[in-house]
Amino acid sequence: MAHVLMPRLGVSVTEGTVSAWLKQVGDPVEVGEPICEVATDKVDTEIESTVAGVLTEQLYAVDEVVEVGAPLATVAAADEATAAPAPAAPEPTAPEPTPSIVPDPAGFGDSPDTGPYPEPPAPELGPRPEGADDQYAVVMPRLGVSVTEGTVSAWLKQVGDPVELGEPICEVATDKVDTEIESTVAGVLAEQRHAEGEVVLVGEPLALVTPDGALPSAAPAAPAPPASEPTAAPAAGAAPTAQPAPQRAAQPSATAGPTVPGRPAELRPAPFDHTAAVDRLLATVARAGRPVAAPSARRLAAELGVDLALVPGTGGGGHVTRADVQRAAEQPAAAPVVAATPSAAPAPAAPAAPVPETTGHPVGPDGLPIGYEDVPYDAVPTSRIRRVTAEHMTRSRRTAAHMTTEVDVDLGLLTDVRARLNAHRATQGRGKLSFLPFVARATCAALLEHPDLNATFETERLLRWGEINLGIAVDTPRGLMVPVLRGAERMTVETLGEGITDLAARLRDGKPGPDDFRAGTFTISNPGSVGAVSAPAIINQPQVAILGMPTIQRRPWVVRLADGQETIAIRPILRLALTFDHRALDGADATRCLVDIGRRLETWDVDDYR
Amino acid sequence: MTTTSAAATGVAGGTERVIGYSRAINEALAEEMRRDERVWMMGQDIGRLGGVFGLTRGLLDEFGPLRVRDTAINETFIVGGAAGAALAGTIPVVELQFADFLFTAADEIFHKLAKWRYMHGGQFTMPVVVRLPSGVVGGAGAEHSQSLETIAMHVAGLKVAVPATPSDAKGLLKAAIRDPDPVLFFEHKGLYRVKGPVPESDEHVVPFGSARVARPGNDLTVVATGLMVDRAVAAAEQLAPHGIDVEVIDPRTLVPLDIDTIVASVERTHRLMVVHEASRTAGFGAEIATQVQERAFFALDAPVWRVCGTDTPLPQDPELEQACIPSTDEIVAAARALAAI
Repeated sequence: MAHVLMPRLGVSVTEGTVSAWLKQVGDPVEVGEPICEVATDKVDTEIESTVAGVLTEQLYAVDEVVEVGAPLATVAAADEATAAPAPAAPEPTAPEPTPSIVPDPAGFGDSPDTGPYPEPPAPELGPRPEGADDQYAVVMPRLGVSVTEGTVSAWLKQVGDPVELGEPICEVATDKVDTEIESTVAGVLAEQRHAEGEVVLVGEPLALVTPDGALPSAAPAAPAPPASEPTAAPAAGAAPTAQPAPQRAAQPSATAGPTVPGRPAELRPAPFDHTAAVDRLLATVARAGRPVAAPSARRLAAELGVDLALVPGTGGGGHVTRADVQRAAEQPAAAPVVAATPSAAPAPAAPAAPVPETTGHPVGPDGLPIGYEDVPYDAVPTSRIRRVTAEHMTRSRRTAAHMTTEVDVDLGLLTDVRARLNAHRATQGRGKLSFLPFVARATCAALLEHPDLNATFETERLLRWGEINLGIAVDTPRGLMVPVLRGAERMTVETLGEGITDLAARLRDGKPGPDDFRAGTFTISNPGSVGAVSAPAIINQPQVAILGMPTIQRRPWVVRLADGQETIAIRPILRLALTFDHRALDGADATRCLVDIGRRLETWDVDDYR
Repeated sequence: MTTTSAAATGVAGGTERVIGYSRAINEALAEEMRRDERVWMMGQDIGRLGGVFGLTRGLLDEFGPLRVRDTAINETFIVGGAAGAALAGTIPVVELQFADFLFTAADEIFHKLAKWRYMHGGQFTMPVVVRLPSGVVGGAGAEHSQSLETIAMHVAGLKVAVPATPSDAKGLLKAAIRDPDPVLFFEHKGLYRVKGPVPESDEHVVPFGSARVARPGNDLTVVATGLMVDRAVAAAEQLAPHGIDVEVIDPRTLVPLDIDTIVASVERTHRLMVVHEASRTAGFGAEIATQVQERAFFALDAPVWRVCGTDTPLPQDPELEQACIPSTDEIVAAARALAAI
């Protein structure tokens, strides 16, 4: 019996949604054979079986979310498949004594070392409540007051390796120190939660160490087969078999455990370790399952009418601080002000309708917007991409101070240049280039002169990125996607054009890789492709600006003739819109960059683009 | 709540002298005995020897053996006798050689002194001061080094003073002697040689229940008593260059406790740490933390922390002993971690 696990489908992918099962219970599966389809916010992919045998259980239904590393399905080897999948209770007819009730008396005398208080039996992996994985997790410790994360530089233990308490399991590099992380749990390494090179936040689990190396949630929901017990049971003696916790490192200042007669009593905990206390405290932030805010921040949020659930926390472990609340309150159109819920007092009979954070409007008891109960409707489930986009867009609008600047660009000259270039390409059997790669090329050239727009804003600092990773917003049947052209500043118009075509093809086929979406530093959105005549956009965080490219319109335009006279001509005009984060830079900076892009588009000759 | 009246800040308008903590206690005893002839003293070796730590030197010569009485090694008698003498209308100031011995006189302290005014319907008061040399002093061992002020706090009917400076030692002791109720006066043995400015006045009296801001600050409130006050201030000076502006508050008396000053400070700084030499578990830091969160929960940016002595008997080795009580470094480290939450 083995599990097919949800694989890590990209550096930043933590979960996926099962979109379809390709194999049903009872179906034979080969290694490498797809068993289901999973959608993440980055890619849709088929999950291949890592085990050969017969599918005995689908652990997630379609549309359920699976975390990376969790078992997706159970596959029994061909010979076990015939056995009943759920082990039966101990057979009542078994002639052997029931060792867990009647201990072998000799067991006491034989082991003077352990005395009358035998070691607790090895923990059993039985059904456990949700969240019990915590006890198996080796958590990224706080390696210094100001250290909030580290990078896994090397794994010293591999999955399946036995691990002792205090034994180094991996090396972690922070900006302060490089250090080995020691296990706080004894057992067998069941999972490396992060690959080498990945960044781990303080308080996040680095690894799971379980008594037998099995993933906790992979434990079958049935007791271990009784046949394997008899040898272990006498050693366990009469000790209670109920769920012993796995062995853990002594936690300073944790409550002392119960005392055992005849053993040295641990009445008082070890000296208080403030650093460990911070770790433990901040680790609870992520586990809280609700917005975690300092009491003072809660009071401020109540005073200012800010919904804490919508405030991004920048405090330790990601908790919401007073400053976070203040920021959220100061941002226009930011976190919805609870007190300002419009017309939230409907019929007097109805108590104030709650405004779920997910909908943004008051919802009645039947789950419909108040007042819409008699309107026919279809409920269409939203895709994962839709939900991710929704969250991403509102977060961006909430955190960034959006402002848009626009310029009109006369593409008359460029139209000729493009025609000549495409004609030349046609002779070589290569496809036509649209205007997009020209705009992208001019944008990259301008960004090199205006590096503050190819950046990330972090209040205390602006990160100017040393390469231009150009995101291209693409409308796909599955939703908006923004693949990234890495190192676009080194590309010519033609390589840009081919890169965009290539990415678009991969998107269309549903075969993009996770790295196709990573590390964008600037984005171009092209609503002109569907006819928009203006193109303000929402900034693609953590970037600070996005260029909107509407449709090119033929307009009556004042042009200067060779003799100095002016006349009105019909020109192809592109109204470029640069939306930028006014926190990071000012309107003049952004407009200078945009004018630069326009100037390059208006004046460059064909060789400038190659 | 006024906490910084002229008397409370130790500036009585007159001149100041720099004297030691021991000298300040000695002066307070002498001045009060001169002021009020009902005041007298009793304790083991306080007369001819001048006290095991020399605090009562010269008092026998000035006030004679009737008012400065040597006793045998018998704390039960010392405190019990004082209780009786208080009933008879005098004002006894007794010394136990080590605060740890209050257990030996427990019934006399926690029952007779603490409860008799109440039990007898206020027919009389119990104006007894019990002087209790307290805290670590460099290897006095597990039965001679404890900080037991929290135990005194827990039993109703006793007032508790924990002076940290010569000025407060003198002013609080004078206030204690003038108080109609029993006072447990925890003098820190490690401070006896510390010198500081003391107002030049017979009326330098520090009222009970008024905290002292030992160092003003805006980012983090540290409440500390006794030997820990100077360590907290030293820690604050180390933290200041790192942008952590620590306010150090010395409550000076634990009963009554000036919680208002502490709460007002926390409402400004939003963070609180209590530092005490006494063992961590159920020390007065727990009480202060609780009262602050009861009254100022929504002012807090972070949990309330304690930096305290270990939950161990105190070792006799002086270095191990120091390892068992908060150091300046430990306060600095904890404050930095707390400020970073």
